[in-house]
Amino acid sequence: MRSQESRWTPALFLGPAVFLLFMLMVYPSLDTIRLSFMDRLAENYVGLDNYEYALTSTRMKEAFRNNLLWLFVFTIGTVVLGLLIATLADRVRYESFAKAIIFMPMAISFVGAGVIWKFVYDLKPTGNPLQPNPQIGVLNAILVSIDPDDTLGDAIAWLRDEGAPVERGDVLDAIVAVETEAIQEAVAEGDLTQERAGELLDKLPDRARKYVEGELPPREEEWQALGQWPRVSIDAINQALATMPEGSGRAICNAIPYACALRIERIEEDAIDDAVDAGTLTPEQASDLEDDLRSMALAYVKDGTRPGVEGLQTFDQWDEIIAGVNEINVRAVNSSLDTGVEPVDWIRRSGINNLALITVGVWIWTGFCMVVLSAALKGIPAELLEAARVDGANEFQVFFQVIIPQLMPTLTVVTTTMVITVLKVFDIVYVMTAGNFGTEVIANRMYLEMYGGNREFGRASAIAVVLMLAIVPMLVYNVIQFRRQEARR
Amino acid sequence: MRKSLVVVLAVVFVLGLAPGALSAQDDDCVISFLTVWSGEDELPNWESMVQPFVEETGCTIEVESTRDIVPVLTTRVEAGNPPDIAGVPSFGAIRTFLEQGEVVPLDFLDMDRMAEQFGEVWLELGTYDGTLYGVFPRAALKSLVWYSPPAFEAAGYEVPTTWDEMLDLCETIFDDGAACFSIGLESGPASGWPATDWIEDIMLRTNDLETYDAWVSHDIAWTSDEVTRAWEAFGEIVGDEDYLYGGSSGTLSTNFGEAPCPLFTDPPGAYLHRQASFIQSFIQDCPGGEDLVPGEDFDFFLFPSIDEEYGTPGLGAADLFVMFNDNDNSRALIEFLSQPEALAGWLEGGGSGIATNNEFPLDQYPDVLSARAAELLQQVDSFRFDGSDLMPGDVNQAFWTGTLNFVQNPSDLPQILETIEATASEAYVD
Repeated sequence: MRSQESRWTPALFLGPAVFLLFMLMVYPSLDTIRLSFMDRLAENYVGLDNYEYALTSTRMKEAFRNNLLWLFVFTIGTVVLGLLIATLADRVRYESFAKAIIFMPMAISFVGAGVIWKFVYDLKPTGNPLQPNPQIGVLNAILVSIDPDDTLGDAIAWLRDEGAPVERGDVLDAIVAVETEAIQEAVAEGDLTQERAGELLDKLPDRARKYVEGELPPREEEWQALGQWPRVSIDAINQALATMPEGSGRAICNAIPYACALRIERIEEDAIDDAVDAGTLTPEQASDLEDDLRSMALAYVKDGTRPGVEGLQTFDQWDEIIAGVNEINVRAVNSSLDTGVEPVDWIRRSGINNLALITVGVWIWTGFCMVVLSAALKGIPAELLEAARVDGANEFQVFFQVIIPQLMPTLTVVTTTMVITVLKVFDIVYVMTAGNFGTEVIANRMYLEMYGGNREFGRASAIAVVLMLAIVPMLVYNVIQFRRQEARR
Repeated sequence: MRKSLVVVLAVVFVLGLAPGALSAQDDDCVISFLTVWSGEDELPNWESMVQPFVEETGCTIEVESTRDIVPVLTTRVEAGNPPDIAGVPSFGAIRTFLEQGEVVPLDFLDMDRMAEQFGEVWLELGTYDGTLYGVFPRAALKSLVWYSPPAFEAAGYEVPTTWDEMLDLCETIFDDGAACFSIGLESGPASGWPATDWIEDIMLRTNDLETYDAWVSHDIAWTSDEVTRAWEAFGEIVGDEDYLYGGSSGTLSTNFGEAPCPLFTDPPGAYLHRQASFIQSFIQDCPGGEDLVPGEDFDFFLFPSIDEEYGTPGLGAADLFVMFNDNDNSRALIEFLSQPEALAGWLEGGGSGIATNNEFPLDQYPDVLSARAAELLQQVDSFRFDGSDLMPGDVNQAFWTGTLNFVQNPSDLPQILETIEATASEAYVD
């Protein structure tokens, strides 16, 4: 009886685990390997075709390259930061609080983290200096607030420096006039109450002044003619410019270079078109010239740089054109003022976007590394550190020559765990960029092959197998390390 | 001790099996329906549409919604547990299921009635290999350019009737300090699809219909002159940072649903927005949008003609309903969806759409714009289905990605088209 029970007991305890392991791990893995040698719908064997795709196609190459970047930056980032925080937190009174904060992101799913960071990285169209747009992404909001754009007020000041008789008051008066009229109209039509109109009119001079200083009134205030403010302002400036003597264009161009570049562009384009009609320029030459026309004109207006190409039709007249400029428009002012810090498209600009995604991963996993390393840190006998200090070691020596060697087994396990984690990275990429803009990773490619619409069983399986082959050595190494560590205890 | 454990395990086991066991025995009429519509947007419209059916038959329609319909459908079909009915964007998405005979043919419908009530184009679109597999009660017209008539009036702009007029207008708008088009390509994993609509509309306006069809079925290459020209024409707008609200980075980062909003700010950030008829509800979700009156504060014109020879064709999409389980209840629902009155409930529920059934009365449309879109759909010189939806999933995906790369770097066009061509040359093989 006894012996029989002891024979069945292990089976009873192991049975469910083995069964589940077989059903959920072994069988699917074996089937995946089988499928990886079959065609799209798993109907015929195709040999190594899928592996050829998984290892040599351009999309997979991009994925491998990015996974490699993830591998280094993510692993080093999480382990080094985790170690740093664990060591530093060990020495402060609010240790558990600090560690709780760092560990918190672990409680958030990858998808959730992706969504959160998508907001952090968010980019809204910037608008232009006369009609700016707020950024709701934290990072870009900070960036944009560092250095405010040049304002309409600055443009007015530049024009005055150049001797143009522009009074800031004229611009303010023009805005106040058009807005007052619009508000009164709205009251007459019953769109605004008398009371509300009075409040708005009281605020109007102040709002107009702020507008000239580069601040749009808040959206919720019911300005009636806000859309006309830029044009009215420019009209007021143009009235002043019209009183300048003929040939004062140069002064205007110094303040608002675009006003003149645009004028040159317009005239030169017409001349080029005429030249094409007359047969002196080929359409290709013309389109090449027109592509760079604006930048050439702008360079000439700003600092007299002569265009480095042949074929311009009116170049000898450019000085004349500049001198003849007698007005500016909204576009020219916007373009000339566009000098603030540009917000960055963190998850789409190549060169930044992969690092931006990796940051999200590091944000989540640093907590894990910190907790494991912190536990190991606490396990280092205090007398060891004492002894080192008594022997005259400074804190750096203690850290690098005592603590690190003591932590080595744990560090290895943490590092390999991070490597395994990072090789499988998927959610962050799928949620934030879906692998577009050069952020493809292996697991995302696998998902898209399978579910992107064509049901590529074979290819997806082959990619899965490749991924598994990359991970298994790390896994084995991890287990061996873990056993060694246990044995040492 | 041990006994109680066994009891607990047994209870857990039975509970786990119970729902499946119960529903298998159930005689009640339950139809499972898989869709991309969700609670916040169009699902209530669907519920309002099938209300008469539910009342009449007493059936329950069990809705499962997912944004990722192809993966879910794939998993369920592979597991032998497909939904009774699925609403899919097109045959392109379910091509594999059709190939494998997993979709039920609709041969129980009265084909004479169908031929009478539906335009040939709709039947053709629901047909695979000579057999009708899907019904389309609702269509959307995509070739629309939205604008704000009051903003146009204030700025003195005229509605353009040709592509060149539209480019001239863009130049004028730019001179006045605003952007011409507001385009938003962000749409999660499907980012880029609004741009594919642009290119399809341009393809239709720069080529004959045969060429368009050949492009969709990959009988002409992505690297061919015809396709390249269409992309280049698109580049005349998106290649010019100045014409785009927020430039190319703004275009890439703006969600398609928020893209029309800059048209309705004061001052307008942009003046034009090209999007299908469904965008109306998104416009009314913009800040201050609930006060906008359709037809007065916002309106649309047909995407202008580029080459007179090809006129102004209409590009559209439609909801395709297909059946995965053949039973009387599912048949009854499909039958209901093919009737002229099917769309009425959808529109009453506040949804937008155009009936594909010719016998649907024009005066049943809830607002002027829907009725006008329906009228336009009948007036267009010709009609074609959204091409990217008809392409194999891989190609559609590559097309989306390609447009994103194009907006980011227009000068990469040759490589972008080669990449899509490489995907296409494999995907169309079988």
